[in-house]
Amino acid sequence: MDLSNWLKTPRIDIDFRENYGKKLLQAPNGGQPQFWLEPKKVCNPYGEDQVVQFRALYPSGCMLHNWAELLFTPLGTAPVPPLKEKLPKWSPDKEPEYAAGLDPLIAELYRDDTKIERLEAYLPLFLDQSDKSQREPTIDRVRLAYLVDAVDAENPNLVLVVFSYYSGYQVRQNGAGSGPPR
Amino acid sequence: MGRRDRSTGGGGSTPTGRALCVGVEADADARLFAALAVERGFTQPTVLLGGEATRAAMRAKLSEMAALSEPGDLFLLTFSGHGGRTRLRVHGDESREVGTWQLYDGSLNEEQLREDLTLFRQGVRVLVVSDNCGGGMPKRASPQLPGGLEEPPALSRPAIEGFLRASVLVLAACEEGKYADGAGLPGHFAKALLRTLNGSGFDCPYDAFHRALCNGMPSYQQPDYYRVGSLNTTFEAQRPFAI
Repeated sequence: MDLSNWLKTPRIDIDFRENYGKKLLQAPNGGQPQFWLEPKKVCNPYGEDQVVQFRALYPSGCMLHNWAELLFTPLGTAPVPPLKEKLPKWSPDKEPEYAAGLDPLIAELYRDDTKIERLEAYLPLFLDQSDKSQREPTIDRVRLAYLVDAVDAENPNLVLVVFSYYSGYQVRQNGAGSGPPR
Repeated sequence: MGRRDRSTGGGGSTPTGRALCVGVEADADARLFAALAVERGFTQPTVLLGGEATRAAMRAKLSEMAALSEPGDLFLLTFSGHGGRTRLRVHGDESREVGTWQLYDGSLNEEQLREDLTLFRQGVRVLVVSDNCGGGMPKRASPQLPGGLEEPPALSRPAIEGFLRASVLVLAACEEGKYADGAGLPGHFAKALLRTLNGSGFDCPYDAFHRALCNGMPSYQQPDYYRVGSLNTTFEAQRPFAI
């Protein structure tokens, strides 16, 4: 998997959010949610340092505390399919276009068996559903897909973030969000 | 259990029960509802699970069921899976938030479902079991027009022209904006529904069944029940899932 796009992405800002993404992609400081991806390198048998994973980092208050040092692993063999149409430059009134345009890829990334190239991590959280859910962790699968030339804007690239239930206390809700890589 | 006299549903001959049970990441629950339909005398239910549960497949089946259903018949639609909300563009620059069901290849939104339900004739009874987070689909009815017909949705798409003529009752796993538990948890809706049907909720009309269902569910997740489409007091007075 080619990691070059991720390696030249110092920051991801989240604009669009839907469903569960509204709960998980929040900045407690009230600002725009954002995070960095710091490469984690491992020395291969040839003595070369190689990027194998990415750590999520962010200034205090820019993401929920359970995102701290979340470790994303590159997975998948199939390139991210292009969108049918380019998305318009983001503004809150473009949410319907983002929801409709990203929906097929979001559905693909919800699947357990997806082959799409992505970064994947496992996010622990406690739901506010019940007494039990407040003590028994839910583990959500977080997938990041990098869409090249997907937006009709100065920065045409987009990172899609998709959440789906993986383990633990289960509710029947998935979610997504997206934003530009800076 | 065989067919019953159509007069119980407002028609003149024997009514038929048809069922479409859809499950995405909740196959076992979809199968439970299909088994319930068989037990209650419905014709062999159509079951769409996982990769079969695409938007096109589900909408095609709804269209087929609408064509087959005659006044007095009962159509049962169950969805077990993830629910959500999305924004739809409506007239001009306006947009509004609507509910969704997450199918295998994307979400089916409330207006698409409503559009498909408009294909059912007046006099047909439709029972929707919405077993997902976020509340029932389709949402509560807009104001009623004289004659019990529901006002058409205020969308610009030409496909949405008809009124929702059938009588549609919705039983939902939770109220709007709330979560629904998955399998093995106290708010597991399919299990609670069957438990209630086999207990005190067996021989009562829908509203009483809903109350019994609420009593059998945890306080943090109360099921919802409401009507959309044409008013049919006979339908609402029947035992749940009775053809």
